[in-house]
Amino acid sequence: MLSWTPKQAEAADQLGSGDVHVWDIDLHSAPTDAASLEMLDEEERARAAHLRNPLHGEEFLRAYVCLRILLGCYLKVEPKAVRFAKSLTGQPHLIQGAGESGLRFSLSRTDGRAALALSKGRDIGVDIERITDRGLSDVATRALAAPELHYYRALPEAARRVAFFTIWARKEAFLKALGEGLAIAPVEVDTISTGGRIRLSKKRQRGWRVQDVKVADGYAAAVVVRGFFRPRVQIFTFP
Amino acid sequence: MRQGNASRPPKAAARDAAAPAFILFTSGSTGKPKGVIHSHEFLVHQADAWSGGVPIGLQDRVSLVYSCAFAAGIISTFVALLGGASLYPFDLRARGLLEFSTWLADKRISVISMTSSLFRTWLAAVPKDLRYPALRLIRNVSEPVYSDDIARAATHLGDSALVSQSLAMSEAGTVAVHTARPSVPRDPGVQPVGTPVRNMEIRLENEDATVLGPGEVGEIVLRSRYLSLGYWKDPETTAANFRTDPVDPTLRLYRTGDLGRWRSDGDLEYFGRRDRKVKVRGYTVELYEIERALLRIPGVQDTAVILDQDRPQDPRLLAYVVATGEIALEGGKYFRELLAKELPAYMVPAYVGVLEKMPLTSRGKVDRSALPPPPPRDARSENYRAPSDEHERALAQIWETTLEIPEVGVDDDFYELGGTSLQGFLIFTAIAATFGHDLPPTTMIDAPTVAKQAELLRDPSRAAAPTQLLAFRPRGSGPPLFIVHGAYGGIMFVREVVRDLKSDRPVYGLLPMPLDGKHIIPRTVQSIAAGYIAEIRRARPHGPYLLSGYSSGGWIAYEMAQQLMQQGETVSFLAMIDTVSDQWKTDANEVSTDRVKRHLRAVQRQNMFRIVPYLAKRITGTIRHHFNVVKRMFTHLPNLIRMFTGRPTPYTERRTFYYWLFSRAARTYSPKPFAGPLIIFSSKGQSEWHKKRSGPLALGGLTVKEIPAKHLEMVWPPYSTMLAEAFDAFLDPKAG
Repeated sequence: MLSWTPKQAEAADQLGSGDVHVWDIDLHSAPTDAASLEMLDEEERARAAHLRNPLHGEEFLRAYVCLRILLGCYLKVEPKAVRFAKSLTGQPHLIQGAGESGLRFSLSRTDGRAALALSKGRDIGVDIERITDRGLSDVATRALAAPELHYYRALPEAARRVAFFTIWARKEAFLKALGEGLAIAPVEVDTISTGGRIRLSKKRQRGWRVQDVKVADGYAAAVVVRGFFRPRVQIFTFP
Repeated sequence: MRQGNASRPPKAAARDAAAPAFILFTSGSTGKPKGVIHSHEFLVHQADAWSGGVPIGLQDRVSLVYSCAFAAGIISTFVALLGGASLYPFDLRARGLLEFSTWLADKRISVISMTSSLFRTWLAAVPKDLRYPALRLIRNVSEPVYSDDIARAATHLGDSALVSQSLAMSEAGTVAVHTARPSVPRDPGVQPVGTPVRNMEIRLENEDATVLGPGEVGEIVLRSRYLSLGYWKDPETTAANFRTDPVDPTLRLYRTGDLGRWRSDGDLEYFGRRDRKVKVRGYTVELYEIERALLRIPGVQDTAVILDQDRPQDPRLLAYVVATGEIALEGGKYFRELLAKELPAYMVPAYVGVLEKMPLTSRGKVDRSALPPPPPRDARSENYRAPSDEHERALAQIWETTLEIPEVGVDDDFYELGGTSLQGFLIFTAIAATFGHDLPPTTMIDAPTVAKQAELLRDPSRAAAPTQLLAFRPRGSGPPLFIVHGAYGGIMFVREVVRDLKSDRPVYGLLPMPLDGKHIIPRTVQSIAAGYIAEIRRARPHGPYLLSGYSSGGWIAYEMAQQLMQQGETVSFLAMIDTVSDQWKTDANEVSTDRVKRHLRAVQRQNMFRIVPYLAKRITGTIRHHFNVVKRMFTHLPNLIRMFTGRPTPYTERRTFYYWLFSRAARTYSPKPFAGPLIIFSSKGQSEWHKKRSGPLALGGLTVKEIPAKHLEMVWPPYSTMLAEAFDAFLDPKAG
């Protein structure tokens, strides 16, 4: 039996129905020893191998090792025994027996970092983005909803970059929580004008809560969870 | 020796052995020259240390191949002169290595000192049968010496000759030497630099200044009286690197910035500069580790690994090797594959160049600036296809800048290139700016390559009118296979199946009709099938047709087959993927008189006292049932309204609506027997049940193939591979 760190075990015990746990994972320090890679199943290895850039493949493997370690900790099973099924939109979700915890998760991966969000029984989506230095002016006008664009343009130049990636992370987290990929145009999702809620095509979505997640410098992240009440979001750093 | 502008010449002979004797200018790793000040006693100390204790005397003829402006040159000069030997200068740059080889023999040179890179290139140039009976010491310095070099040198030397490799630096001269006869057996690969010279202590320390024992890699720290006095006019750097020993104030300590490791036999291994620790995508990489891995490959003679900073935010590792024998003919890929077995992916160089020889600087060190430039950033995919027209070229350019990947081939898959949603969005933004019209973001799902997107851009009508047909595999020689979505309307599983499908034919997925309010929503399997037939006839106007459907989509495929045959077409293949037979119908068909009889029989069997509770249970059950029917009506009221009015369905409700719509259609569908053969891919344990239920429908025979997975899992990896195999077995039975 793999032993989890006291922090991990404690966090796993604390997850209640109103809680959201977000693990901020530095993939550079994620385990890559042979025993860790043993945890992964064939599909995960195959998917890593399909990525053309071997670095992407390596980070994919590292992210899934962390995912299995943490899910194993929350479910009190060995990492290798964690089983996933694909939803009809292709997102992984847990296969759990009857009467089990109803744990939901969402994993997001970017260059060098990953975020894992967990909840009890609530649909959840998380997104983490590396803040790059690419030009954003034309992208902002296409990606941001009108209230977001207004806010974005009112910001001083220096603050815009972080703001854009944060807003993008919120949108992406929402789409992931819905189980949709690119099917919804990002410009339809407004994450700013309803204070912690989301408007989709100008209609208020009462059932969803959005919250930014403070992760390492140079990255932006947000989590979206289904539910009427504001969730209690706790952030942990892996390991 | 550079002087004059840097230092005033001494006014008189040295009064003090510890006083400055000369200043040596080094290039320094930053490119800004540093002046290293040395004392008189340093030179005297080096006279002994330089040769590792091998006495240099009157009879010796010492060659001088380096300028006196370099440490190697000035120290050799003084060592020879202090020992009373003769000094023979030779201008290598002007006269060349071949002449050097014969000159060494003609002049009966007995001691040579050179960098190991020069040693290696010289050995390659020496005529095969040339012997040097007078040569008694070859001194290697600065760079790694390999066992192969020494073995090769042995063929040109007399029996008593010695070869040494040493660790030396401008700030301290020679500090460690390993001397042995070339005939002595030695470990393969890089040779150790031996043990400290007299009056020199070597320590290895980690970053916390803890002294390390054998086996651990640490920074080489020197403790001696005979170190440099410091840097000329640079007290800061001097203070950073040199300090007085806290125990014995006559000694000083020098942090070399070099890495080393003690072997268990007491010899020191030299691992190169500490600042050769680089960061690649956030991972710390010691370049020497890569060099050592390369040198472990048999036949590799020499190597240099550098960090390519042409794109500072994304540096990459480049390696160069000099190899002999068969592997010299191998390309860089061969070496990268071997390295990939030993090293983590981030340490495998992006490029390995195979060179005939290493370019050397005038000091005989590897000239990194003269290494051949690497190819443009690499990683063309294996089945790279270059863009062939304007659309493809412009698109490939957009992909390359957004994904920061050079040379995107037109068939490269966006997701396999590691593309993220944000990058996908950026690509569409750039497409809109370049081509002046938008592709819907969902395009990345059904057209994830440059070629497919270029096709959409060439014919905007196709992109503008959303089609229900997704070409998961656009090309192939056989007639196409059409696969209908499942109950939730999802079709992406086809992507996974197609990946492993060997059958050489195009594969299309059928999406459900869009719920945008502009399309009429059909309600029955018959009308849905009729609409889908219109879609597939756009891709393939006439049969034979190959049809399949997942879950309740199986009934749609079944009905399409029926209608197509009525229209005079051939259906050569029909497979339902775990399509559930209409189990709801049996109860609905039970006439009410039967139901009354059943209840009466049950009542008769009951004990008198149990009748009341039995009836109460039935009655509450009936009430609850009708309550549920009403409740369901209310929950599905929005769906009913949407279906009858055709109003758009919000994205968040899409999947529920499709599920409701398709389940409802399947429930009310009465399949007529099918004239042809029917195939069912069953989920785990359901084979018998499928045979029982669907057997009577298949007039042309029913084949059931079981996939050992649950209904929802069977179309996704790893089971999608089995499903693809099953498809292959039925699509091309002869091939199997």
